[in-house]
Amino acid sequence: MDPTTVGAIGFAVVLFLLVLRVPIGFALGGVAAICVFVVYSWRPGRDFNPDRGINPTLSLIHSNAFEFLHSYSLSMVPMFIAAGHIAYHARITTDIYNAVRIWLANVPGGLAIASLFGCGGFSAITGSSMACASSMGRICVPEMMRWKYNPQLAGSTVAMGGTLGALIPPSILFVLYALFTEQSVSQLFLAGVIPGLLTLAGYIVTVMIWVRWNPSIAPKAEITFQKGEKWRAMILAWPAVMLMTIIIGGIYGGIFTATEAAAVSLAFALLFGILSRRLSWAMISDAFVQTAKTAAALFFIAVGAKIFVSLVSLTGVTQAFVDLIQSADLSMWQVLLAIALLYLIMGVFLDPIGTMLLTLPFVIPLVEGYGLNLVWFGVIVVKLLEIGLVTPPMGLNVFVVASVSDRLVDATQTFKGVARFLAIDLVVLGLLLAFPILSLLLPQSMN
Amino acid sequence: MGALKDQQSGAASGPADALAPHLDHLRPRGLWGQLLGRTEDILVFFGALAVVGMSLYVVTGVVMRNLLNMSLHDESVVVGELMIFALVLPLGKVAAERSFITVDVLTKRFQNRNIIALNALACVVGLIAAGALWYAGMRAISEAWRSNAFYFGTLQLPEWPGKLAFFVGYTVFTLRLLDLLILDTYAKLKTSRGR
Repeated sequence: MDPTTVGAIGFAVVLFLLVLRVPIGFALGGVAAICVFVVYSWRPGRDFNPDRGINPTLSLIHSNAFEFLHSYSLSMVPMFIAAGHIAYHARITTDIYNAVRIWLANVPGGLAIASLFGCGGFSAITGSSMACASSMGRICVPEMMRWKYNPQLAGSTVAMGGTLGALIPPSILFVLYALFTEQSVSQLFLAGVIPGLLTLAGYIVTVMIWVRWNPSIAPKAEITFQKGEKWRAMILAWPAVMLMTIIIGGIYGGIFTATEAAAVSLAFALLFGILSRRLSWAMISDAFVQTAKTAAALFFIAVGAKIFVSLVSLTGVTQAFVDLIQSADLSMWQVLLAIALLYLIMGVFLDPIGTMLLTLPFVIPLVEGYGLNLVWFGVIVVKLLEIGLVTPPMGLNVFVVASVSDRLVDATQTFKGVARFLAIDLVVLGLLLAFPILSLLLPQSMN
Repeated sequence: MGALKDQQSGAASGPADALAPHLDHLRPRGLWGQLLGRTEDILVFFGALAVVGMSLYVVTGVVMRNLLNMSLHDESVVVGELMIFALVLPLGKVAAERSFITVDVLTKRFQNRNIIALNALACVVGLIAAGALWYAGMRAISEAWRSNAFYFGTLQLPEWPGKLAFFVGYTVFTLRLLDLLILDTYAKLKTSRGR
């Protein structure tokens, strides 16, 4: 049987299984295992012979799974996840939010802006958008609702702030992108800093305009803080600043590799939590158990994707796809626009990791063919995936915020609020596409 | 989306199966269920310990390099071995909690009996993936044990611990998927008969 046909059928079956609610890792791994077996057993011009297929199939599956997981550089992912858990339990993330909240107490929409800063700070400690939305949602949404903020504003601010988790380093999406495109994780992390800050600034401007337009959605807090209280709150946030310095400063300064930054930030958060008596042994144990379970679920998808990528290269289906696109004689911008639309549409239905791992084997050879910088393209992909995280009907971040807020806000209200932020997201995306230097400035100047 | 659990600060833990509570009364409570559950708990504990271990090893390496101008031996091999423990051993527990990421945009309005059938389909597809990895893992551990293979490096660490963890993790994962498949099939039959 023609391998390209097997690859194309395999891809279609994966999509069909995903629609039928089969977990992404199961669909990718199961279909890839069968297709690889068929390709090896049924070579073109020969009869089907399963004996011929079994050994190479098992070797390919095992080497792809075992060698992939047996990785020093990938160990940063569980360590960053653990750092996020520990920072949350040690209330390091709450301290950032509190500091900004106190400083902006009398600013219209101050709590919403503080929530965005809190999300930005949390993003600089852990690498997941959903984790950011979930942790900050528990803290910020009840506080905003207590001060009679509009539920649309309260829910959407945290859902949008959560998307910073994948842009501001560390970022699990960047790690996986780096792995599947053979790019430097450190460079990708640094490439995400300016786009992340730009996105944060855009969200803050949106909140300010929204509140100015309709002041009743964010009643001014009738509370004043003394200067001493403000500075005390600021000083209390030092562990968060320290963690950001370790991760971003350490990588930029060439002091740590990204893996070492993950381990050192985890050790710092743990040490701070224990010495400040904010962490109990039960919390520490729970944090590491949750980390192991989360990382195992995440990496099972990545293993499935790795085997699927091998199938794609084995069958040559990527080349057929690239040839098809190139024969259409499209300009670089037309291709980029098509890719952006593809990610926006897929992001509406699929989760970011699934979308990315499913599309990269096809998209990267195409982008490389146009000579585009893959670090810059990685930032564009992550930004597009993040937009998918807040758009209906999938909008994972929105459901996370709704589910952790004790019914203070619901998904429909949050989606309505999110609509106001999407325009600024598209503006930022346009800027990143038009000015690659925004992404490449830091990686190019790193030590 | 279904109910979201374990999102507190997890990276990508997916929606837990919204149906699981409905099925709880069907879950076998016998010795087999207890044994599998207990084994999964122990394996998750070892997975968590592996995360602690790899963090300690990397931090020790950084401290030794910067303060003592020394380096740790075989850092990438040790951390790599611990990664296998951390990422494969908890798979059974993750499957038991049905915490793998799914896309349920199009199926969320389905009736319970159809969701049960889709759960069973997911288990079958998962069994194909996990079964292939389990069988490949079994061959790899027997090969590593037979050849007494070592990793290249100063410590000359044997290859079998990581491969054994890989095999054990996928064995429990496969058993759990089989358990869930039986459970879902039984539930499907029960709901079909009840109609």
